[in-house]
Amino acid sequence: MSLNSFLFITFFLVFFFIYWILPRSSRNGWLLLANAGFCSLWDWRLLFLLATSITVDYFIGLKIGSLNVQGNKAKPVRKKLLIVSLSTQLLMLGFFKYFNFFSESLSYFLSRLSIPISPLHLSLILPVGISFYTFKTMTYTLDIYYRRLDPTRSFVAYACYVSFFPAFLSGPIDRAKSLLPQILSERVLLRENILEGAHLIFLGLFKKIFVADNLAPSVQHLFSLAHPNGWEVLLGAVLFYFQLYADFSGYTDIATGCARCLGFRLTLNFNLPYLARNPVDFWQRWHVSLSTWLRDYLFLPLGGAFRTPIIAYRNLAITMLLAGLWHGPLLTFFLWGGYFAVLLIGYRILQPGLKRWGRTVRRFLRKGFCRSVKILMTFLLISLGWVIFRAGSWSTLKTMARGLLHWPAGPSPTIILKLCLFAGPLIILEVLEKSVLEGSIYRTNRLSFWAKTVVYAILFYLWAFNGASAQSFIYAQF
Amino acid sequence: MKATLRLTAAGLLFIALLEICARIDDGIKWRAPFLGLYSVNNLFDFDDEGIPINIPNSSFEKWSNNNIGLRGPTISRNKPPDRMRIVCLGTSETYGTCESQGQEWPAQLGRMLKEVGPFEIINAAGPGFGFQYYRRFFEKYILPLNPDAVLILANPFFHASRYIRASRIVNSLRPQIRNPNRQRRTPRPSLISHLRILPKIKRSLRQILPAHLKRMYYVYNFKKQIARKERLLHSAELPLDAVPESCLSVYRDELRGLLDYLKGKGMQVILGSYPSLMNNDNIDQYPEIFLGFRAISIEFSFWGDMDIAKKYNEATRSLAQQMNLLFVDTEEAVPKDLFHFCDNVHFTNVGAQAVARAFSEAICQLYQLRCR
Repeated sequence: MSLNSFLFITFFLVFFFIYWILPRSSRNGWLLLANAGFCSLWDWRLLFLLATSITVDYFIGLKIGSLNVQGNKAKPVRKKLLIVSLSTQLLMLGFFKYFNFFSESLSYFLSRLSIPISPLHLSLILPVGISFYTFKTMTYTLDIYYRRLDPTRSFVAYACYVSFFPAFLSGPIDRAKSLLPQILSERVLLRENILEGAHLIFLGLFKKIFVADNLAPSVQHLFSLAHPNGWEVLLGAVLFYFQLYADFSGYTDIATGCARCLGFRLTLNFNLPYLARNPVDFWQRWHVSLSTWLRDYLFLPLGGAFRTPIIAYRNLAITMLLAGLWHGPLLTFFLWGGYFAVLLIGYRILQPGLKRWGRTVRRFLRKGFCRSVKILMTFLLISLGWVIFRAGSWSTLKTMARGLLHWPAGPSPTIILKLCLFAGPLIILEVLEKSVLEGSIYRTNRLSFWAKTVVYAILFYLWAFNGASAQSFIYAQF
Repeated sequence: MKATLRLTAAGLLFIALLEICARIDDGIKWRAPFLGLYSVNNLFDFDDEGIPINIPNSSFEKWSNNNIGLRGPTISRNKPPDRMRIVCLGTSETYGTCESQGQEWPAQLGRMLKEVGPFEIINAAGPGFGFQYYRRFFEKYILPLNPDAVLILANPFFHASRYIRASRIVNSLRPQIRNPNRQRRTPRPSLISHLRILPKIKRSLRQILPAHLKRMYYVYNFKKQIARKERLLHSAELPLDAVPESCLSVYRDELRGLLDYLKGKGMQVILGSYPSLMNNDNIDQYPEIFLGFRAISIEFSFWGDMDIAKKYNEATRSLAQQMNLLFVDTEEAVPKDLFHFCDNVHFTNVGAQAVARAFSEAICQLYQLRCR
């Protein structure tokens, strides 16, 4: 049940009305029931996996919490419990997501060592949302272990936090610290929340249906060319950047909007990533909930960037490679992680020189121009990274790389027109919202009620009558 | 009260804006005029003799008629000396219904033959062009273009339905059926048909509905339509499970008459069998499609429709043999699935390609060309 489907809209509307009719004390129970219903509509077997994951971490969380008050004496036990929790979660994730990959890789390496062995291949179904909810449960136990959070006694609240259905498929990966207190507190039906939620859902559908789904056929075409040229590779990369952004941020907006209608506030996941000025800035704007998760629970525990530069680079490389692998057991995802590791490390090395050079250049050129160059350079570098991400196989990646060696006279005007037609309105809308319209069309005082009606009518027309046929969300497969 | 009025006004403004957007959108996508009626009726009419024609230089969405009122690009009235003109006669499946622009089978055939010789394919079909009009239409509109050959894909369902309707004096749904020679007029468009947003809303709703709900809706709707039409026909003998022999004999005579006429004019003629999706194996597979078709071909049951397809195609084949004409079994060439058909008789791009390929092979055989 995808969030852009008729079924979900019906499901959500029914859930929404009953949710607000029910007495406050029953809302969490109803939410949990809806979460279970939502998961079982994908695959009822997923419920067992989810229940195991929730139960293990709920009890371990309680135990670690009780040991927290005993001071350093209990540290070894706490650590053991944390290891049990993390390994349970990672084993489940690893088994369902990476078993075949590791089995095939092992067989490949052994055959290289003249030990022929046929790989054990299990026909496993990847449980939807596993990468996202596993990170949520891990956050919970880790935060309790680091004494940043007290465990909850309410099993229902914790289960609601892990399986919260609007964010179940593709996040945002909310921290227990932020979402759990909201689940435990009493929620009130506010007109403001409903309007903001409806606005976000509306915007999400616009991004998904009008932008992402309309760009999808062109991306598919450009990435399946047998002999692409440089322009086609570049346009394929840029188009995919916008497709992925519109798809993923569209999903996030719908999820956040649904949550807002129910009285919850989810973490911000995107902040105009195409306006990033450097690779570090990009990761502060793109999939923020994952990047901050990786920073707080992987990069910093590894030592962060506080020791020697070499250790910082190593930590960066490990973090980015694992970020790549988090997307799936594909070589291209691993390479994509590696590419970003190189970008981030390269930026760290070059940063002092770039700053000095920037100061010199700024004496001769306008500040706005320098900023635009930075944005454009970052945009191109990030776009090339998306070629690796989208390629899906080594052979496609090689074909695309070969294409970069051949640059004919000019790019195809049709594709550029498509880019302007579908990505253009999105960029204009978002930049206007952030810079002029006080963050949101519906909230701003700069537009009258009638002007807002005009804007919404145009946006509605674009997605309702010019949308391509519904496709599933890209990140739902991770 | 004030707030309600404000909301109502905003709602009306919202709908008005959607209508304006729809008009601008049609203008950008299809070069449709901003004002005035824009519907499929812009494409078709009847001439002063009551022959159905496509209106020259008209267009509606992906469909457009050229300077002579034929589907496809502009053509010269005078045949260039080094060109072979081949005319395709048929109904909506030849005119092109579900295919993308330029993917209807005559257009695809034109592209295929362009590689092997100086052929010019003319799509002289129109939706609902009954078999009875072919000769008059050909004489008046096509003969002046000096064609060299004619491909005929005659719709048997239209013929059989017309025969049954004409042979029975019943309280028919369509008054003109009682007098088939009565001059037909295009109905006056209603006020609501001027709204361009409504068809778009319908289309979008059809897109978002889950497949099973859509199917349920169509089945319900078509069953209702069929029941209503059957009630209006007031006949216990309908629907028929088999096509009457008299009907087939009229078809043979009419087709023979047309072929004699065309041969008399020096045309090379290629006949094609009429492909349709429905057969014994898939009758339960696509209920919404077949019920939709039955709502049009109301005189015949599913078994009747299958019998029409079988017997008419057989009649066409035997007539082609008798008259020593080339016969293309397009029925055989198009697999019976939704990859090739979008409904019971209309093709998808791939289905149209299969028909075009079958005809191109026949043309190559006729003109002794080496085709790839």
